[in-house]
Amino acid sequence: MIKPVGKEYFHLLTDKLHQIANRPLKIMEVCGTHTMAIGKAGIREILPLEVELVSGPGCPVCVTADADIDTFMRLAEDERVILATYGDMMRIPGTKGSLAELRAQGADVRVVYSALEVIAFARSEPDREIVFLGIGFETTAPATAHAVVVAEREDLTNFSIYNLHKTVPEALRALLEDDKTDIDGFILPGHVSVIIGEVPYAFIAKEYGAVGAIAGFEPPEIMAAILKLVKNINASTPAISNLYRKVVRPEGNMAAKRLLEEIFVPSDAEWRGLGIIPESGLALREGYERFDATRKFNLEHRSVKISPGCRCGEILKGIIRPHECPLFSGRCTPERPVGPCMVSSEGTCAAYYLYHGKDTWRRLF
Amino acid sequence: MIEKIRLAHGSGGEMMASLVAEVFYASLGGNIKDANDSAILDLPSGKVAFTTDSFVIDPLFFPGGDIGKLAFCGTINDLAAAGAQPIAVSASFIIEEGTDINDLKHIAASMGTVSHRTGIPVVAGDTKVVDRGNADKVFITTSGIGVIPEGVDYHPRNIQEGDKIITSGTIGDHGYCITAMREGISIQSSVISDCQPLHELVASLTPLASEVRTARDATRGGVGMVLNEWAQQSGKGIIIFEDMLPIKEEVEGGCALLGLEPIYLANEGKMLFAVAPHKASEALILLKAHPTGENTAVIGEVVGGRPQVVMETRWGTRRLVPTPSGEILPRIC
Repeated sequence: MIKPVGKEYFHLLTDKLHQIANRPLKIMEVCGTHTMAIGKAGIREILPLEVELVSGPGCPVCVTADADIDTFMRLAEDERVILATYGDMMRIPGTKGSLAELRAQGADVRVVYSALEVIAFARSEPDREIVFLGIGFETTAPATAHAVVVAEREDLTNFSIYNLHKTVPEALRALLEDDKTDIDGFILPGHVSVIIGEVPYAFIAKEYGAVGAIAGFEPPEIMAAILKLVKNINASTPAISNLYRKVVRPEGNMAAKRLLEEIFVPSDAEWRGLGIIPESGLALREGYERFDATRKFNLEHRSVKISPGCRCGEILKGIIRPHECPLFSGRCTPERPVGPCMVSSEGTCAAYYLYHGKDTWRRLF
Repeated sequence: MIEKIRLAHGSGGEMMASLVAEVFYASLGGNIKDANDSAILDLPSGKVAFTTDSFVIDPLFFPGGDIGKLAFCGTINDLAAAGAQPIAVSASFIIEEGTDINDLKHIAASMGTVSHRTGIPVVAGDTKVVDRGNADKVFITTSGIGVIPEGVDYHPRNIQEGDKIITSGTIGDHGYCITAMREGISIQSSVISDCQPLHELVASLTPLASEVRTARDATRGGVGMVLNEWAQQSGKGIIIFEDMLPIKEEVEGGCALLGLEPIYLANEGKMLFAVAPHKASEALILLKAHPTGENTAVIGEVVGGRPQVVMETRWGTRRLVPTPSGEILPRIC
């Protein structure tokens, strides 16, 4: 048994939070890893009733738009193509089934753990077209960028990426712009912040008067972040606090940032439920367009609706809880997911299904 | 050259006879002279338990066992969970064309080893060979028959509020071992499958009679699955305490890395018991005295309220432990 570090500290923070929480507040944990950690540690159950913790759009699989799903499914069906991607993508339902089902029918879809594995396929199978389904936020985008650098250096003409990479700060701006969300503060993603640092979040406080705290993933770290947010709200001090200084530097990881800038340029991107968010995507920069699968295969984006009735969008914005979606736990379960939020191991709906029960949202105890 | 299974090995002719003799009779006992279409058994008086289970684990060989040992122990443990003392087992093999005969010999031999050690014979069997691709190497179905001692009645309906929940040892070892192998982190792994027969361990609780309410081996879906079934079947709530769960450090760390929860991982040599509270310490002493129960621990208790399983986390908070769903690891047993 690994003994928990800081259990007493955790309860001290919780007690303090109970003392100072004096009005209804809505705090969003942006990141899917935080959502899982919060569920697993039962944190929602012991918060003061005034503090509502809602889950945000920080799970890359969850925010993948139907049009993108439809497009990469068609790519997988192309006989010339080997489609390589991370495991989480395999079970997203498309109009003709998931990638896992397409693979069972003969499509060459491969699960990889890193973008460099994909480069290895491109080297060893020069007669095939290798397409990497690049997905993730600022955490995984540098790995994709590195793969592009290697492909460029080795002049691998059979390698391309279908780019689903997105950036977090612009999505937070979109949430703050949305009148329906009324979020008072954000628990900001620890891993993304390792790459981008503190600065890109400054607008949250400066322009919107909201608060944010960069947090680690241990329960005391999460509780400390909530306490800090409530303190700053009470004191009317809009600020971005970095409570994860052991790994997050104010300027972020300069090498990774330089790599991202070298390969990508900000572009508009479609987010599931949030629509097109300006400058929230990462397009290949001029000079690297030949690695863009959309161009290479002349892929057209069709407007499709794969899962009617799925309310992922409102869930991702923290407007409703998963239990308020009519499909939740009935037609949509982790075994037979309808929407991507139920697919990913870090998806909001999957986390609620796993840790809060299938019936209705309620406090258990 | 390694000899491979051919379709002719299943056709009922001479090749099949020699396969049965060299592989199965050699390891599991018996001979062609005494063979008949059914085994005839003398059963002691009492209620009879009868069970069957199929094994399709991939890979066939893993640290701590193989599909042969697993198929034997799995059926023994299903009998043990009903409180029965096993009398005899049958084993039926579906073999894919092209399988190494040496692999088959190893599998039969390890099944034979547990059979001899426990004194529980394999009294009936069958082999079928299917075309390449129509099975994956070897599938085994075992059935078992056992007799339940007087006074023993294990069923979740007997569970009462206040009963203690006991595990006979560390949880998640088998599931972690197989997953670690598949994920390629087996090189540094020291965790081996807990695959072992538990009928003697269960028999050590016979003196407590109906103070032991029920037992179940926590295989697929793990401890989380069994406790949810008990909650549903008994209509009672169950609370478990995270810091009382016996989990090997490597299993816990590895699970964190792989995004798995030890309470949902399969065990192949651990029994869960619900025991009346005033007999719990006695049960603990009896179980710990047996080599397969030395890490026995109380992990929770039966409470009132909704029929659900709740965990008090190591942080002092509480959360639901729902029935496992989604990607339960395929072909773990």
